Amino acid sequence: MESQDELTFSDVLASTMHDTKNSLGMLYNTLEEMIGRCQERQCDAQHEFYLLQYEIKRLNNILIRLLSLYKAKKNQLLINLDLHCVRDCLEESVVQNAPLLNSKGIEIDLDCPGDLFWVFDYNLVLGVIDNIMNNTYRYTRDKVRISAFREEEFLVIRIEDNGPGYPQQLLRQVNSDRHNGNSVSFDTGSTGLGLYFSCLVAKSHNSGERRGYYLTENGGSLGGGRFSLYLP
Amino acid sequence: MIVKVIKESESKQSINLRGKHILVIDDFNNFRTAVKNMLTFSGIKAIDEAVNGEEAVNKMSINSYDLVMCDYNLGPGKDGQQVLEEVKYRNYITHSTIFMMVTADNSMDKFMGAMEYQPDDYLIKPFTRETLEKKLKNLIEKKELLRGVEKAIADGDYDHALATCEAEILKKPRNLADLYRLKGEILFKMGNHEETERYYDSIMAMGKLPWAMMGSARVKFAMGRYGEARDVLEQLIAANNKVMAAYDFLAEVLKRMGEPLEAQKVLMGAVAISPKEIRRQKELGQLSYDNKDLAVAEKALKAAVKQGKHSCFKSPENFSILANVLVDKGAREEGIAVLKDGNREFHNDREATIQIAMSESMVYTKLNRRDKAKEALNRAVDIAKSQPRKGTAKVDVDLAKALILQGDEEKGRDIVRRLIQNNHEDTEVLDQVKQAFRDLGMDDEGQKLVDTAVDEVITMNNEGVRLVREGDLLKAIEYFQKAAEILPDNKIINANAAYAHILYMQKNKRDTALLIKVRVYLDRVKRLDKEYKDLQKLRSMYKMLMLE
Repeated sequence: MESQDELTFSDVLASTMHDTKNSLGMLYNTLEEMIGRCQERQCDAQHEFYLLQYEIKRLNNILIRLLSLYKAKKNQLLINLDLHCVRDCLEESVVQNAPLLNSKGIEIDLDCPGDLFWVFDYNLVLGVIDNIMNNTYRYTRDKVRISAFREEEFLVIRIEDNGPGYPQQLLRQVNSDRHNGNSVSFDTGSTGLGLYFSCLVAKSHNSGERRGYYLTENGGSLGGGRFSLYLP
Repeated sequence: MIVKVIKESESKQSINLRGKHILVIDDFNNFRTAVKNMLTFSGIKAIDEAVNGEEAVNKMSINSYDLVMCDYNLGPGKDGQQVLEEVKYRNYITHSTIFMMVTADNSMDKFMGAMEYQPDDYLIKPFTRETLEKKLKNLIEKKELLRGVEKAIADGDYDHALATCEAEILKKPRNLADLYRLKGEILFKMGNHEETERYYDSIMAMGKLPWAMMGSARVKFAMGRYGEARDVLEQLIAANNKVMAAYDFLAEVLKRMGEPLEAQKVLMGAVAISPKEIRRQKELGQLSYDNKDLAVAEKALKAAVKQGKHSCFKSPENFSILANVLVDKGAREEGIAVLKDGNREFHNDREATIQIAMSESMVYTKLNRRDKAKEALNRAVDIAKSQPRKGTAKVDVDLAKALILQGDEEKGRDIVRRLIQNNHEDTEVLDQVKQAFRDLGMDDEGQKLVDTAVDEVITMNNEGVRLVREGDLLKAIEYFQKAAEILPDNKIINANAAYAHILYMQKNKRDTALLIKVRVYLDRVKRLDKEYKDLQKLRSMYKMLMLE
């Protein structure tokens, strides 16, 4: 049994990640100011700055996920349930990602009624959405569509793009997992980490017999990748 | 921004950040600058900064802010949670101030603090200007929506609060959850327990919301169904082991069920997760001391004392109980030393130093050191007599009781007489005194003491009033000067003294020495009772004289 007071190597890693994350935060804000000044003067470097910001954000998201995984392993990943306005959550992610996506000419559609309410952990779900939205910067052609609606006893949050879609090994379709929840392993390589996190978050939401899960499919309304998070 | 928003919610356009007064608290210079730049860009002009918790609390005690952005980690001294607790506890901010806690990661646990000391929202670093602006606007919108309901609750008009709340719920605004939560609180306050319980059941059918489970446990407890309250709280903790308020409440339930050992276990589990809440450490210290678990009590109370340094919840009792724990386990010197520390820590606090001196006396009594015990008690008497009362009257009553028990009845009566005469119209204080004498088996003496002392003051006051009425103002001011000297903490005597002096000067001429006296009397009245009925009138009369 692991003693509570004993500092393990993973604890050291986790605290280093915290530190790194804080530094990234400073980098990110400084860059934000540079972009602001840059916009005023309409200088050419703007696009490169956005690219830098995108990479920092990506690193930051990776660290958040790693920390969540670390907590999950230590049984410290808690979920703070409350009743939330779903649109609030989607809008927050859109506001965060819009400057970056727009800088590359990517258009965002948001489709969610304002009176859709659901019980979930706001920060965890926002983390999942944010991660997928951030990825579309790399993979979509010029469109992202984020929507939410109720389907039977589940809330569905869906992010679609018009890029080339998910590679075969990352697809999780309706019949395979629907009722057992997903089980993702690391065999798909580093790109699977984001989805692993999604899986963790989805599974931590349950209500009675029903458990959360996600689907990754190709096609959808924009013809590219389609990610759907199902929350009971 | 190229965001095609389908079905835009209309409300938000109207929220304007311009004209808001904001305080930014962070020990990190770069961060404050970054946030300031973002806020300036969003149109906010009035931005104050604080580099640490102490400065932040000071600023909030002087200025009123619409928004407070506070970093959780503020280096040495107070942390963000302690800042929040203190400004709420001291009413430096009201429910209309938005308090946002800024944290470095999303692990900051929403429920670490007690329910009543939670920030309006958390913001995770790093964030963009857009995110900050959107969050602020959302929070302002929410606050404004809740204002009517919260005001009705604060006014105690629960029927109106409920009606307003239900009307808002029908509109399904974004902060529906807040309205649902408030509705539960209103129902509970209205006292219809069955209905409240049914209401929380209906909320829990949507999901295991911590606040609904807490509410459900609270109403079950109120109905005396302790076992059920316990079940709900245990389920809540099993689902989310960081809802710290659930542990505190569960311990209370268990104590009521006559299971102090179980209650102690629950609190031990809580402090293992969240060791920084000093009121919980204190409760655990007291409980385990009562349970004769000296080791746990010592650890908890030492933590409470240590963390109390920066908290508004520091308390002399932590030092007192800790000293007793240490003496009981045989560490006499350390126990006495703890009380000396406490004395230093509270050196400006009359009630706390009296309490500590009394504890010292008890500890010495326990150690059979009669002389030292007496010395400590005399010190308590000296403090009580030489300084004006600021806090609870209970300390003076306890001191009198201790003196009488020690056989020093005259000194005890003296303290009580002083207390009564300085508060001769305060029925709560008079009742406390009577109760204390009842506890000592001296009912009649208590009643007599109160009656005589009150009569003396009334006679004294009436005599002065008579002199004023008869127009003998010179005699009146001389009389009231003496009376105010005898009873410096009696607000009526001081107010009348001020009034007599003012009348005297209006009739004759203004006089600097007398004006200073009026000033002293009015300051005393203000200190004793800010809301005293004639205070405003007397002050404006005083100001008029100053202007002549």
